[in-house]
Order: sequence, then C-alpha cells, then structure tokens
Amino acid sequence: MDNYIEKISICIQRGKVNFDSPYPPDMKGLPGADELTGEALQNGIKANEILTGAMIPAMGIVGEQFKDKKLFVPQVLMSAKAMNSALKHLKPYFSSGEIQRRGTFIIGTVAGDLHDIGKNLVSMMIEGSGWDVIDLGVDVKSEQFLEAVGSNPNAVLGMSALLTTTMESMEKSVRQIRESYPDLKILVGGAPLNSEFAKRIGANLYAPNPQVAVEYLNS
Amino acid sequence: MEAFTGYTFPLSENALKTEEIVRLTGPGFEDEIFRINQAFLKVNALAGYTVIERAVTTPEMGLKISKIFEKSEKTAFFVLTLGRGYEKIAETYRGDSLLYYLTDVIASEYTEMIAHVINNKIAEHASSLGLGSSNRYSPGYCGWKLSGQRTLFSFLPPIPCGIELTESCLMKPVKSISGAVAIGRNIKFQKYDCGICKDEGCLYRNKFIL
Repeated sequence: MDNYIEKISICIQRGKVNFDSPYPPDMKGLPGADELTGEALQNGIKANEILTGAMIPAMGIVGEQFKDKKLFVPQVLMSAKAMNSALKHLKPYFSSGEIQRRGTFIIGTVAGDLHDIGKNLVSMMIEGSGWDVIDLGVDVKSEQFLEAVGSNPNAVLGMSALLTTTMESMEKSVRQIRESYPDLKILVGGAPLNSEFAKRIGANLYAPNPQVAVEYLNS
Repeated sequence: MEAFTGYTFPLSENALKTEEIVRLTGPGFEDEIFRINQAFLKVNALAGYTVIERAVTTPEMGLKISKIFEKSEKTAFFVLTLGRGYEKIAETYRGDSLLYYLTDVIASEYTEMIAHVINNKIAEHASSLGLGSSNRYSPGYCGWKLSGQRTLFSFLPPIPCGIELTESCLMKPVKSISGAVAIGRNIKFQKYDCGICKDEGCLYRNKFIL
C-alpha cells in the first residue's frame, strides 16, 4: 500500500501525469499519477488514504518549493495536472460522500481586469490541497461574486487584480460583498497589492503566492 | 496632431531562440516551447511613435519621472502590440494550463523585444538631431499611475496600431506596451534606473531595459 502512496506522491511532486507524458524526461515510459491512482483503488487502497496520504501532502511540498523559488511555474503546472489526473479517479468517492473536500473556494479576477495566469495557478494549488474550487473567470462583477457566495454559504472567496486601476474594482467589490456577508473570509492577491491594501479594503488576507493562500485556508 | 511614425515588425525577423525562453520557464518543456514559438513567427507586431516638440509632463507621471521629462526638449510617446496574432495563439492553448502559460511567457518576451526595438528607433531619431534620449517609461511602472494611459493616448492618433483602452486603462489587444521617452541635449540613458522606483516586487527590477 505504502508503495502506491509513495509512487503517487512522487508522480505529483515531479509532474508525471500519465504513461504517455514525456515529462519529466527521467520518468519517460513509466506510469503516472493517472494510472497509479486507478491501480491503487483496484488494489483496495481507500480513496481517502490516496487523497490525504499522497495527493494533498505532495501538492503541499510543491507549494513550499514554489514559495521558496525552487520550482518554475511550468513545473508547478505539471504537478497540478498530475494531481488532476489522480483526482479524476476519486470523483465517484466525492459524489458518494466517502471522501469530502475541505471546503469550497470561489475565485475570480475582478471587474475590468482580464489577467488570469496567476488566478489559474492559485486555483489549481488550492484544488490540489483538497478544496472544491469554483472559478468565475476574469472581469468578474460584484454581482457575480455575490451570487456565487450566496449559492455556497460556507465558501471562502478569493479575488485577483493585476492592475492598479482594478484594485479600485476590488475595493468596491469587497465593500459590497461585506455589506451582505460581513463574516465571509476573503483572500486577495495580485502583483500591485500588499497587506496594507488588503486590510484597508476589508479583506482577511493578502496572499503574495499560492502557498500562503493554501496555508491560510487549511489553518 | 503630430505625425505618427508606424512600423510593422514580423516576429520571424526577430525570432527568439528556444534556449532564451527556457531561461524563463525552466527546462523540460523545450518541445512545447519550440512548437508555440513557431506559431509566433507568423505574427506581425505593430509599433509607432509620435514626437511632441516640447517637454511634456503629466500629473500621473509622478515626481521622479517628471523630473526627467521636464529637462527634455521633445517627448516621444509610443505604443506597440502583438495584435490579434497573439490572441489567436492564446485561444488555441487556453484549455491547457501549461501551453497557455508558455504562450504568455513567449508573448511577453516578444513584446519586450519590440519595445526595445521601438526605443532604439526613437533613440536613433534623437541622435540624428544631435540629441540624447532617455530610458522608456510606461504607465503602471516607476510611479507613473496607470490612469495616465488616457493622457498618453491623447498624444497619439485614435486607436494607434489598433490598440484601444478599456475603462480600467487596460490595453486591448493585450500584449501591448505604451510609454514615453524624453529627448534633449541634457537627456541621457541610464543603464539601471530602478533607483527611482519603490516597487521591490517589480518584474523588471534591475533588468537591463533600454
């Protein structure tokens, strides 16, 4: 059993998606997270053991390494792909209630802003840490955030902005959302932001990188 | 309205090498980078500039950039874009997080490269008049407020190179750069000019930018 757990963990850490994937080069021709997760389940390993023993810790290691600038973004993206290929096998167990997500995270880039690379990366890292992620996309108006929060009462909200001008949109959205949901946890991120700004607009946390957001959510 | 000098730059004439991109993305994705880069070689970047025959400073420039521009005798405002060519490539790869990211990195490098080229064109123009020219400065960097895009665009023809400003001052098509260069007898290029900016997290900090 440990062998599968360890192998799946390594595949996710190294970004080995499946047998056909040529990345990483030194694992070419070997099964990836996709095949190994399927085999592990067939061999009687519990879905929860795979999720909590291999997948989530592996993505945690990747997040730490990225935070410490030991990994490039494409390497993280490959890890997230490997994670997703493993998660696909666990979907029936989520549906049946045998295993559960840690919670729901809603994310979007604020109105007027079309940048999505950073948002997508955060989204994948949070999903990889065991959360269900609802990605609203880019140019998201306050009303859309409000609707999503209303439909997911216990969710945590993440907002992204990459322009100084759209930081104003973020402030407006946070204030509007706070009127209806004063206790909602709101995380913000994006290159021009900082902790002071997050505090001033009423957000709970400024996340300078995905791992900070993951650590906050899981604390 | 002053004349707008426009250029078309086929990226095939300034092709990035795979190893130049790998320095930014890390190793292991050379095949993907090569494939995406091939698509960029069909793209024509558009660029152009207008020279205003006086020193121009705007409130949004901030004090430090204004100090450079107030010493100038002419002010060049420029724009450049990879245009719809980039957007078509990005759409192709949007569904794959890795390829989409690599496309974004490659596009940013080409955009910076064309900015370097247009900056050189302005420097050559200044030199032909016996004048010096500054580094290029752009709204959103070095203390120049992004809202200053509107003033900058007011010195350019309508929709220059096909670039439009959104309400939030985002340029569309994305992968466009706008900016200004000071020109004058007392204007010099500074190899590193990050001393005028407080943004420690800036992507361009201490990178050589002509």
